[in-house]
Amino acid sequence: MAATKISDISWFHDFPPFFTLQPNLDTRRKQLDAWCSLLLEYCRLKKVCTFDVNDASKFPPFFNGKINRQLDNNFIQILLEELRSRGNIEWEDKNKRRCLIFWNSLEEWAKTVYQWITSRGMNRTVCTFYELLHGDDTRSADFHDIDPKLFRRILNELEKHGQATVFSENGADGVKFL
Amino acid sequence: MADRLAWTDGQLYVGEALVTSQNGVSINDGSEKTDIQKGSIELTSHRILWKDKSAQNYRCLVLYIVRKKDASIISKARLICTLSKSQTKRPDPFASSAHDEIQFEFRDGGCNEFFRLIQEELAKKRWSVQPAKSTTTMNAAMSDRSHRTGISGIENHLQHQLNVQHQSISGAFQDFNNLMQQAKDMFNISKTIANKSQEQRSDLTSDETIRFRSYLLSLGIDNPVTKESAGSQYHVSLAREVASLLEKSLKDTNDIMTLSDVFCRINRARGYELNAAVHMEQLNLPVRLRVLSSGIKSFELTNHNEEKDLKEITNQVESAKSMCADQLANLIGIPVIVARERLIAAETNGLLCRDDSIEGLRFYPNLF
Repeated sequence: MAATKISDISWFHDFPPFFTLQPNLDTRRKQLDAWCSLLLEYCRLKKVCTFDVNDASKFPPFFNGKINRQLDNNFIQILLEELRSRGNIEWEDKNKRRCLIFWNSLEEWAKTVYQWITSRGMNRTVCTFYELLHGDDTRSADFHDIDPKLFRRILNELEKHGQATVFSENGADGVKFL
Repeated sequence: MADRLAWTDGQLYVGEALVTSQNGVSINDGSEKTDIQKGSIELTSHRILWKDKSAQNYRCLVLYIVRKKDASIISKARLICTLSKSQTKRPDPFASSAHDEIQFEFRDGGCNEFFRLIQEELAKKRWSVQPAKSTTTMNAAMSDRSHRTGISGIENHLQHQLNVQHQSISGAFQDFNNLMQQAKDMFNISKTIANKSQEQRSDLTSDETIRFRSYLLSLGIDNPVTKESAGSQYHVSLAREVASLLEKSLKDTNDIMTLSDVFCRINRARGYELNAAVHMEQLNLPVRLRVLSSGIKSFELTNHNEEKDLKEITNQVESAKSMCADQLANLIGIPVIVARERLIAAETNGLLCRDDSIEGLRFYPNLF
């Protein structure tokens, strides 16, 4: 993946007020919208599927060395909560330390995967998680190289709709598309 | 006390000068009321005279200022004087009295001023220079001078010059006292007019009266509006006065001044609190008190257009790309606290957004 400048994703990233939580509520609404778009697009481009709060200070979108600005912890908490309320992250633990990132919703993901499988005529075939996630054939797919935890969630969703069956054989996880 | 009063016909002595006079004064024996009510009191360089205005004949009572006398004020309207025994017995209205002090009740105000002048006269002690003697010493000095030369001649000459200077200074202050006196008269007239107009309920005249009072105020004249004269209308009248004064000042300072600035300017002449300021808006005065979002109180002209002002400020910030409160204050000549408040107001209106970092608080045009 070519080195993408974050300011190419959103010019706001070079705008100093972007890093200060705005007191004016109308302004704040627009600011949070801009942050959410930026974060999700970044995660999509870099295939970031999980996030640990302890790594927040190192997470590139949260700071900009060029203008010497960074998000404070309070703002980061508010952003994460905003994303959660929009369904874009799910906390894995009660303490809200690790989360799963959904730049696509689960339904969208399920549709994407099933469409990809169907377009390749791979219905009624069995594949391993590994080959689907990391195989050469799937390089162009959106789901290529995403986090296995996320992938499992997507397949479980397909299973719910009767479009796939998930199983495990000899320690390897596999799926049969129906 | 009362046995130290004496009758007189009101003629001044040679060398005695009238310092001031005040109407509406009554005399109390100690703290007991007497028959001596509501007359006019005059302070001269030698004595205090009390005149009964209503009487056809010129009856006055006089207090000889002998040796020591202490004056003090217990409340705004009363002057207490402690008297020492008079040296000679003169015909007086009271045979004897139990008290050592006399009280002057100033029903129409002017107590503070009178007190101040008494203190001055007590310090000058002009009564101890006997009129007859002084003229002879003058003559003697002059005749001596013509005979003596040398050091004593020069000394006498210097002394003579000092006396002349002293006279002219006292004379100059006399004029000032006269001016004060006249101003007092003007004030009394304006008060009479105000009272008369209130009976007829004419708003126009009361506005003029208030404007008139503000002119008096700007001259620094005592007691234009006090709690005694205006009573419950105190704060309201005060509001009007302050408003008219401020209107001029505010035009110079870009329509807005903080409370502390206003307080300083008004207090130069008055020394009163500005609780009246809260009434301003209700009275539709040209000046009003605003509590800014930071809690600071400031005065501004009522026709100060908020929207235009904020747009102006936004334009300034745009052309500078970003600004902090200091920069804005310097740029348009307003206090820093007010500049900060203006920027925040623009932010509240969605025109600006903030950038808060270790570099300080700056404001940018709202590009969100």
